[in-house]
Amino acid sequence: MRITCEIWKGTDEADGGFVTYEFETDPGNMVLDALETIYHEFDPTLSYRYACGIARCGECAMMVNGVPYLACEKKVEPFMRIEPLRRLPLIKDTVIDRRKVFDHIQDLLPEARDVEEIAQSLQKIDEKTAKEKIENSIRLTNCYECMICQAMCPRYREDGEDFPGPLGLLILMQMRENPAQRTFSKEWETMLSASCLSCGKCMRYCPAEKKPLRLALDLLERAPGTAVRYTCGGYGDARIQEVADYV
Amino acid sequence: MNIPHTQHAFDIVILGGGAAGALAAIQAKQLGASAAFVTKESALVGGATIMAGGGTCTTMSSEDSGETYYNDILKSGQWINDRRLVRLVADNATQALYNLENCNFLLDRNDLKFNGPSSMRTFHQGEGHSYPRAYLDRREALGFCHGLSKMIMRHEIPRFTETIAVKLLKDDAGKICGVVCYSLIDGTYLIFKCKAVILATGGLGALYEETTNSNVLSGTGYALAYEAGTELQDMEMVQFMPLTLPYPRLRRGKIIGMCSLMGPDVKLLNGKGERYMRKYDPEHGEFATRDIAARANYMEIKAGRGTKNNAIIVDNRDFAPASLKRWQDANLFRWRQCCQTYGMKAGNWEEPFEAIPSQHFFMGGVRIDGDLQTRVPGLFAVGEVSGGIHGANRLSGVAFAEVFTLGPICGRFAYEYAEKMQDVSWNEEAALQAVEELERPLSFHGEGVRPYQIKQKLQKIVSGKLGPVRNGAELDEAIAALESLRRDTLPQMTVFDGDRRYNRERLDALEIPLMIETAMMIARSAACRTESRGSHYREDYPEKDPAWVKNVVIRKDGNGAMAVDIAAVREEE
Repeated sequence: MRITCEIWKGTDEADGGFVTYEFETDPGNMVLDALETIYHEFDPTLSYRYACGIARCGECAMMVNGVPYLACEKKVEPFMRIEPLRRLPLIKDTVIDRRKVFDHIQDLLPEARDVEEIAQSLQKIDEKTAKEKIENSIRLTNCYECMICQAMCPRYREDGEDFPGPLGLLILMQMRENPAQRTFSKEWETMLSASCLSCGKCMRYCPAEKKPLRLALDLLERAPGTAVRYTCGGYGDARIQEVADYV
Repeated sequence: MNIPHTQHAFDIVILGGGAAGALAAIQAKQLGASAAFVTKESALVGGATIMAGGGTCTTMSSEDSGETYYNDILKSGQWINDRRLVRLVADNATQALYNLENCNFLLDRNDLKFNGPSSMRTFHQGEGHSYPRAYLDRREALGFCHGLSKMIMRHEIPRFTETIAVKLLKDDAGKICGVVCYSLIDGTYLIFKCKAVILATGGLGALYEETTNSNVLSGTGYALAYEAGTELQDMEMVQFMPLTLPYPRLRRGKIIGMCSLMGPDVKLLNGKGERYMRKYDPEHGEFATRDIAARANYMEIKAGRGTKNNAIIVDNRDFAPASLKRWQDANLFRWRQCCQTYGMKAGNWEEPFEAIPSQHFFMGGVRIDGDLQTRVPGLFAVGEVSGGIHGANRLSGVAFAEVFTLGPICGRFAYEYAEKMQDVSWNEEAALQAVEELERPLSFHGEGVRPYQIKQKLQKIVSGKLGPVRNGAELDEAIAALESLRRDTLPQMTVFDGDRRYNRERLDALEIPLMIETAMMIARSAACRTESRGSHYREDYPEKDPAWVKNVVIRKDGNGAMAVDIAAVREEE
């Protein structure tokens, strides 16, 4: 199959632009295969990031024809416009700087507890709640941290100062649903949920099998006193348009 | 010097972003050391950990004990294991697993009140284990990785992501005084002055064409340690995973799972439709340990009895419904991958599917003492980069048991060492000179061989001649080919572009000399062991030789040449 790839090269408007490559590839190949071909055969200066190749590390997320995908999971198409994820600082070409996101998340994390204290608090939980917490906890931690949610969130800003993005929200819920943790401060919960626009865009593009963000949003909506009005699966294009207009 | 660089000072620098490095960093920091966490990936905790199935073997079962676990590890490792380290792991694995629940995530449990096998959702008996021992996780290793990365953040440990170590620095007395690293992000060098270095750089998957590891495990840690003057042992012991995906290209070599996970009815067939495992292991058949199963699959394919895709066939059509449910439940990722690769029918075992053996783990590595310190004072090693625990073959689920147990222990020993040290004698001149030497080959942009091409040549040599089945003639060829790669091809290496930002060629160019060094150690070590033991199989010496209950030890001698010695196995004190 002959494919045409338009790939963003460079860092900003001043030194960057789209470069086009045309070549033959196997139709079963993934976008990451195509990038590797370009790097090997046409352009040694192409920067792209990946580690596992099997949709686990979440490091190869990028935009293909305007939609975010993991490059190792997305099959090649005859025409592809490949760009880095939006809303995150760019290092070069398709490679975004993920470090800032981790810095913002660092501020959210509560202090560690010691093992004794955890064991005691676990004893107090009844069986039914425990089962529910375990299931929630497993699903919420099934996240690749690929940053697609951050990139798609209309509320998230590069500086991340006032809102650490959907990933921050997910980690908040991971903490809350884990009985072995000191709970999150209520202010954070209120602040985060007030910042969320309930558009569901983060969850819509999440590549993780178990859609951890979906559960996080459901839980947040059910929490008393939160402003999240995301109704289970009820996000629609109209609402997303509304949010897009807001931004 | 006009090469961009920054200088940093810490008590301890941890090299490697897997679970071993993370746990060591967290422990060292908790005790009060200033620690830097250097990882090659952008994900804070990834490495080999994120690729693993998540199985962790502990002695939770009431009938089980540290002693039987210890004996199982020794038996599988064919008695060349370092007894002291095995004892540490066997005795402390269970507590080490529970301790992880302090890392922002919950184990995959049934209930919260009790500890023990019944409170874990899946508890599995793998090949070579006397009792059910493996805790399995529905998230595989994602829970561990992200839990640990939150701990790294919570303890505010300075993180240097997408940074690789390229040279260890020693003072005049031969003690560690620093390490030179290179950042892929902006292409600058980082010079760390430190009292101790914890080497947790993991295995060497990238040396092989087919590997279950992610692409970051390039095996440079072994060569760094070698160059620093420490000893490495049993470098011939490379583990292969019996069943991995044969296609598509990106997933080639990624784990399917061990036979025991697929239930008791699974059959392995060659291209002619014959069951062959009893030929290689009359007692266990399909449920042989990894060394035997991977070699069997490899030999069937090599003898021309594979399928047309050069693979063997996994046939589990006689499965019991409970086995499939258990497989889907405990191995969601693998099941999904099989369905995507082979189609739903084969993914659900209604049809047979193909599989190949691939490189998985490395049992050999840096030789460490009971305090996890190498012969170079201040250089500690933990995880896959260290050698001796698994001997000639690793049992399933013991790698996680090892890192969860020894990771924190290593952090503590490194802290105690750094605490006693007043200050290091720092030679800035030497550090800057090292940077200049490292940069020299990278400033050649003319006509030549690109780094990835050298990497592919290296992989071809290593996969072709240092696979599961070896012989003296091929090993000699491998040594000659590696020597020629270093002598003739390496000087022609060219980096196309001078741009420092995220330049993959510069990274490859820095790693390749180290990768060749590591491959050479495997070849030299394999040529030295004239017997077959565990994962090391020699066609010209197919029998196990009782005189070879010994370790092969490699070090750099006074003239800078590679010295290969034979040493007695280390006993408990």
